[in-house]
Amino acid sequence: MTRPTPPVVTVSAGSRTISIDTGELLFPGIVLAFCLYYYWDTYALPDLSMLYAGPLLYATVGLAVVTILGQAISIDGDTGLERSERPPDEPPTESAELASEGATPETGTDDPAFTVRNAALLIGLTVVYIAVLDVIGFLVATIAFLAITLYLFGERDPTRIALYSVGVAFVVWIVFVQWLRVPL
Amino acid sequence: MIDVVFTPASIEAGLGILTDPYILLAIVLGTAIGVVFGAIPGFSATMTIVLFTPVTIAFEPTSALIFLVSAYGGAVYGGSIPAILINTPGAPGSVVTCWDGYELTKQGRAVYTLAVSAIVSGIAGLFAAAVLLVFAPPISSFALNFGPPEMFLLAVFALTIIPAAKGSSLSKALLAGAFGLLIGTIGNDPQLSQSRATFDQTALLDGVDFIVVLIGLFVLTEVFRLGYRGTVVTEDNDRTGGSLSEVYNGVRAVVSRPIETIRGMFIGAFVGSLPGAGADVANFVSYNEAKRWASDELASRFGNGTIEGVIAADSSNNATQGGALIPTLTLGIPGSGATAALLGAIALHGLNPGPGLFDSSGDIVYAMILSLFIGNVLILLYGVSGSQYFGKLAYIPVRYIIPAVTVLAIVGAFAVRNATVDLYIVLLFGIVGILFVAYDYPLVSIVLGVILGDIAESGFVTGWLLTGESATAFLFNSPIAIGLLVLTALSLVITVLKN
Repeated sequence: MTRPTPPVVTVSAGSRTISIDTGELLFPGIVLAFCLYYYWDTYALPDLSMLYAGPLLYATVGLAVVTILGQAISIDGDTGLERSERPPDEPPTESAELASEGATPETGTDDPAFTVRNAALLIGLTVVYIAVLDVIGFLVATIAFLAITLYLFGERDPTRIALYSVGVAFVVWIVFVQWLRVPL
Repeated sequence: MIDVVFTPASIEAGLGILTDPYILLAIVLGTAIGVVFGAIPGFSATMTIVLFTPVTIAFEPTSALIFLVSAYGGAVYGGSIPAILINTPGAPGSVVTCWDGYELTKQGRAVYTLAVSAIVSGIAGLFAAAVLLVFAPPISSFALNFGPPEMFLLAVFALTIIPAAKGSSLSKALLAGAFGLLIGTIGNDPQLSQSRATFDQTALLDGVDFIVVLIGLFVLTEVFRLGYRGTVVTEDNDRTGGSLSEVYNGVRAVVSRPIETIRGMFIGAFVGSLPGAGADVANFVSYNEAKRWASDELASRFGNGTIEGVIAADSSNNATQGGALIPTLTLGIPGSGATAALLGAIALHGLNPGPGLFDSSGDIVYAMILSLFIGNVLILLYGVSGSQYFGKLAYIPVRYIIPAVTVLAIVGAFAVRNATVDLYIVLLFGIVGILFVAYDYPLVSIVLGVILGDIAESGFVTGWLLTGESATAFLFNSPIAIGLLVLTALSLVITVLKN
């Protein structure tokens, strides 16, 4: 149930201390990296092509910088320009948003199968599944993915694992490949 | 102008569509699937619509959209089942249902509570469908007056209202929205067809498909989070058994409390119609109002298992559906994840979401609205006759849900347009979604940004060129434009004050 909290880096500058919540840098960092690529890819385009996208790009960069300054950086214990939810050394909350966008609230479980490590492994398995789909084919890749993931989250009965993985893969194959003609 | 979209002929055409047996089957199946998936812990209405949208690709547009809108209603109701049985809301709009619903379950009144939930959900859904039928056409007619500058300003307003409605950080919400808009510009630009930020992927010349983004943000993110959250459900907790006389008691409980039901319905329909505010907000408002209007003795029992609390929560919850569809169908502005998913499905099936939707596809839109009446009667029937059976779904171990839903999300994303790059896009947004949830970024802001990208760009470019490339002429193009500017300024001020 616990999850890794990105560290807060503290830097002393003269009499002042600057704290940087590295977790809060993650999304603005991704946005800035994307904006950099976007700029590199489009700077030579005609003005008309960038009439809307150009100002939007600069506005997005500006908002990313403001978000970093307001949410990730605090000076001398100041909680930032706009930070209202939490100080930098506390773990992030998952309150309103998860309950507002289609997620179920935190309920908690003592089941040792549900850990940050296993969630990270699930993401890793999904990456591998996507990568090998083309190589080994849909049915084999899907059956393997389902079996490994089910094992990861605590199922130990081989019969159940086999029935579940083959059954789910077969149903998905029937619906998407045979019925919808998706070229998986 | 109202005559254009609100004519007996268009309603008649909509009714004609509903007489098709396949359409009726779509409503029956859609509602049942919605209830079933909504009742599974971790499955929200948004996830249900998003996951089933690729499956409907083979359907013709009318039956596909009616199937999805029926599933929406069913899933909103279904979310209350695990809330009542295992204290785990299946959807965000069912959070408040837990407070009294689960207490009643602990007192051995599960069937009674499930019956009350089904009845008020069905009645509230019917009321909201009527509200949608009455209010959507005139709003749609008014929206036909929107020109390109107004459409751009409408998109900007929609993005600024999210933090005001949800109480999020202004800079985070705006950053998420701007990033979404920027994602929406990927691909060939509409003026000169020059490619922008396509990572040399041919499929991206047509842009990033927002159904894929929605699957990533709403389905994969939730599955990844289930990976470390799990749920508290065990089969030992199964409390779905109970006498059928409890269903009759449930009917009597609702009939004897009409004010509570009506108040919740009005609150739900009104709050639902506000962009950015959905069942999650309506739920709290309705519950608080019910408590405020209750006698001191009754108010003290709220939270300890009073049926008035369940009625307040579930009547507002289901009434938001019709309300939320008003801005979605009339302006093309979805106010929640579920309506964003529906809007995506509308676009996927070749209809043009936005102010012209009623004008161009009035028969289909009316059929969708009218199908809500049938769907909500079905919710009432399904719920009263079988909620204890649907309730068994609440006990499915989450370890069986995670692998299957992950596969469905991946395959569904690929099925949208058979592009390999979409597999990586869905994964990327699944991971970005985790950051959003962990650091309190509003998911709906980035979704709105991606969805409104086209409207915003064409509105801005066309408006800018038409108004002589003058900012003054562009921004103050018409009274509607000025009104939207004022509303945008107001929502920004409200957010700043809240922060």
